[in-house]
Amino acid sequence: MSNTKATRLRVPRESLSTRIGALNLGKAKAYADFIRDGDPDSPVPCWGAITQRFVEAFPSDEERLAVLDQLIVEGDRRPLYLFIETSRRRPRLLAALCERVGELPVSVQRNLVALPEAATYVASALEKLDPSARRVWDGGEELKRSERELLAGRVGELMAFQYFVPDAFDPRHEPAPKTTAAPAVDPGAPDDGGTRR
Amino acid sequence: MADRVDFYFRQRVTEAELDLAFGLLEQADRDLAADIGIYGIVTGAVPTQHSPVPGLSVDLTSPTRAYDRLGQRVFIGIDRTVDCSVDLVGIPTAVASPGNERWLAVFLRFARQLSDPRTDGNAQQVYFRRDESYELVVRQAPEGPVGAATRVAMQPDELLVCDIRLAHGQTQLLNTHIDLARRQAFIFAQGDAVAVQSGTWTVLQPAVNTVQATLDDVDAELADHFSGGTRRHPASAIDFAPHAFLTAVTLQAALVELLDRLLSTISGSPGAQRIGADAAPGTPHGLGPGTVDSQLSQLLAWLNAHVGAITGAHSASAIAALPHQHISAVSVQGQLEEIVNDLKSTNPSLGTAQVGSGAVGGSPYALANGTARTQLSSLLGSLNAHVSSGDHDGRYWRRVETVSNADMVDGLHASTFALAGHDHDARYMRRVFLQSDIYDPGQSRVVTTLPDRPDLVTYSYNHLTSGLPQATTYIRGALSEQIRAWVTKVSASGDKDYRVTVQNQSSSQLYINVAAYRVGT
Repeated sequence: MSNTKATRLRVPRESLSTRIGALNLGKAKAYADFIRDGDPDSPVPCWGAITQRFVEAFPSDEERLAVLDQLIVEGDRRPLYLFIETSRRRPRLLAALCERVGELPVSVQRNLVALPEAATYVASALEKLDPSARRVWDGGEELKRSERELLAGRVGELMAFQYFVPDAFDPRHEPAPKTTAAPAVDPGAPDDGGTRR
Repeated sequence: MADRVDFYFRQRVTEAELDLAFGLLEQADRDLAADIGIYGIVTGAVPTQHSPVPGLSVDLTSPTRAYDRLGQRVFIGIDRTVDCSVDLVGIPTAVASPGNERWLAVFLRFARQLSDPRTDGNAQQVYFRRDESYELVVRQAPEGPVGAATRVAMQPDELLVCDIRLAHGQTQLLNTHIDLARRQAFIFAQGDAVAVQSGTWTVLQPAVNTVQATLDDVDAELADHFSGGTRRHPASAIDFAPHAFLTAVTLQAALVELLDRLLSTISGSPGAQRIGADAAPGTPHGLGPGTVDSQLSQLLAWLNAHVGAITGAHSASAIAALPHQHISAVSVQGQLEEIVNDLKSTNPSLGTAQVGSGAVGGSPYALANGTARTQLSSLLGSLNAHVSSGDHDGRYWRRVETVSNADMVDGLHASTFALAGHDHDARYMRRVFLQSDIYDPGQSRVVTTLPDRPDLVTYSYNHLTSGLPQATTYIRGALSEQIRAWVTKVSASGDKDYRVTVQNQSSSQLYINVAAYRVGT
């Protein structure tokens, strides 16, 4: 696999890594380098690996709050979705997000107010909410569930790919399937007619 | 010669006759002195302050010889001290009033010293010797204001030794208090009694040929000469020793030569080259010792360099400037700094308040002559009045108004379509699940259980390299037929859930992405 810079995904690597690298945290510089170039002799990281490394590198709330400041300044919604997702079991981080909810993009606000874990903190920051997010807050559980599903989908998309790995062959010449399909290991799987085998 | 008496044979001489004979001889002696004008103090009687300790007395030196106007000889053989604290009649001489002074005078007069007493035929005691002697007399004048007191009048039969000035409270007579200006020194003969021969004289022309007239004439000539009125020396008659660059030997010639040299404008030998000049220290320039010519040349060079300098001639701080308007600094540098600071100032009386601006015409508003501040204030006032008055005419739509139905699309308000703010209703399909994972060949996996039945389940796959999905996601690839996915309704406490299962029937390890979508709540 190659770690060539020409194959970078559309990730604000430079600005985000520069912001985080400027933090007065011991691990910030290494994390910024990882965002920018990945590990030595490893593929370029995508949001999945970037998020996973974030969780590993910054275990404390204080460190993550410092990173949050830079994410808000950066303004990119994608790392904020991931930050919310990784903060759902951290009340202090949820409180901090709600305290600054007015600075978050509207779609992120809508996701945040839909989380039952953040409800306590959202209630004290209602005046800061965008009207659209306020509509979610006032819209009942069904609307909140929809937002949570949207958040889950977005997070799933972002986490789907850990690294950028180039194709091993031209997609136009994808190898044909082997003549013999793998044996079904799920005894409950329906057959081609939709009946159980 | 003297008058005589002729004693005769068998004359019985009386005392009076003998005294007459001696008196005539003595008178002849005195007449001689008086006739030729001899009188005054010949030697001695020089007054000094009393030694060793000065007091209200003076010491007179000896021997003293003098003749009074009657030709009587006065002789003092020893030094004498004269008590000046009282006068000749015993009255104290002290000055009574502060601010006053008094003149004393010490006189010398003739007297006789009687001695050798005998008894005459009448049994009367007489003195056989009547020697020449003297008396020292102290006289005092009335006291008067300092500088205005009168002196003691001269005495016709006495000789003035000195005047003495005594101040109020003074207890010592010093040499500075002794005045010899009127001292009657010895006069041998009157000048007008001695003749001179003036026939061959070329300058002096006495009125009469006497010593006195001649001396008067000399005095007049000298007075004219010394005062410069007349009888001046011609400069050509005064010797001059050649000196420096002057070679003349008379004062006249030297002056002419000096002026000629000083007035010279000859190149290389100007007059200024003859005038020395000492060093004149200074910064940045200083003059060393030399001549006026050399220093003028140096000054001219510096001045030309200064005037012709393009830069760096003067520091602005070294150029004086008169305070004016509100600018109080006294140098160009100081005033420039003050002006800049004032222009940058936010003080209401400075900054734009010090920038003039002419009238700006306009309608309905116009700006009058004033400062930038007054015009800005006027503009702000007009703007505020405009904003608060809502004075736009009918051509303008107001902020709270909506132009026709510009905020509607197909009868719906624009907010209905806001990107981040609107909510799709149940008519729209939306994604309710998405998951990506690695499936081994033949592996099936329950990926999720949804509370509602999904209307659409999609799947796609990526080939793997070293356990990581490759870049291309196949929506419909060669292995799509070998991926199976199904939804199974399951019971959960009376409610129904829907389980989504995916199976990889290919013989390859695949990275399968599953998404579920649903219409409705």
